[in-house]
Amino acid sequence: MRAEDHWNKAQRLENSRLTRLDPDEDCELTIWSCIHGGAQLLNVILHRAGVTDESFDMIHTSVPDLPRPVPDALKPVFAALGRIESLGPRFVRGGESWGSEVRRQCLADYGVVKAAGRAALTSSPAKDAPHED
Amino acid sequence: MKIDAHISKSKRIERSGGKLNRDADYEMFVETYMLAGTHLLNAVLHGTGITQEHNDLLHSDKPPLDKPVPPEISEMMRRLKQIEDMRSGYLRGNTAWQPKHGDLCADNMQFLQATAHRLLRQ
Repeated sequence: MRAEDHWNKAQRLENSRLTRLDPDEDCELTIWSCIHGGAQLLNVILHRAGVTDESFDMIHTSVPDLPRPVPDALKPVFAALGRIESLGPRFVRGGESWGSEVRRQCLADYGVVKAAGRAALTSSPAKDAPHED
Repeated sequence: MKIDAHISKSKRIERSGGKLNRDADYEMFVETYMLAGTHLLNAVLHGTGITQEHNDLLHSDKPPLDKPVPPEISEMMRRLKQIEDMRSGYLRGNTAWQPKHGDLCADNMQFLQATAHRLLRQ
């Protein structure tokens, strides 16, 4: 999917979260919105960086396998989204107790991913971007 | 996860989903029913001895079950898969939302709840 469409989808998911949900009462759907909104933003970043093309979309940070190593510049974004994804088994599929620090970190990590997505969207697309061997 | 915890989690997620607008928030609407439905399926699978509480399905077919299931549970899984199959177009892709799919999600969830209630005697 095009980078612009990924961005729009991320904004839709975020809008649903911000306008309808309470991050504590509705922690499961809050997490889920961040996971999947984050995946959309990841695709903005990867497509614009020339790491993937628009016909290859990631579902999560490790699904499917990236066709090339994660560039160093993108590792913080992968780490932030990976932390969000790790909340799924604990709080959405599992019954761990939610807390303010987990909430803070989840939303902060989403902010990191979104900022990187916005920067990627507004930058010029990379053409034949060099990749690490 | 324990049966009661799955039921509680399903109710929590569905309650949160009740705050969404089916058409304006269709992505999260579908996800609500997928997640809540999966918890109900796991409750039933544990409650009927098909799986153990430490073996939860993530989706109707993931991981695949290694034993046959009764027709009622098979129908639960079929209806949950119908919801899951909407995700590639609506959550990950750009498919234009069809409200009839919202109705299908709600109808299928009703079936899942009624069947779980009957099979778990709750």
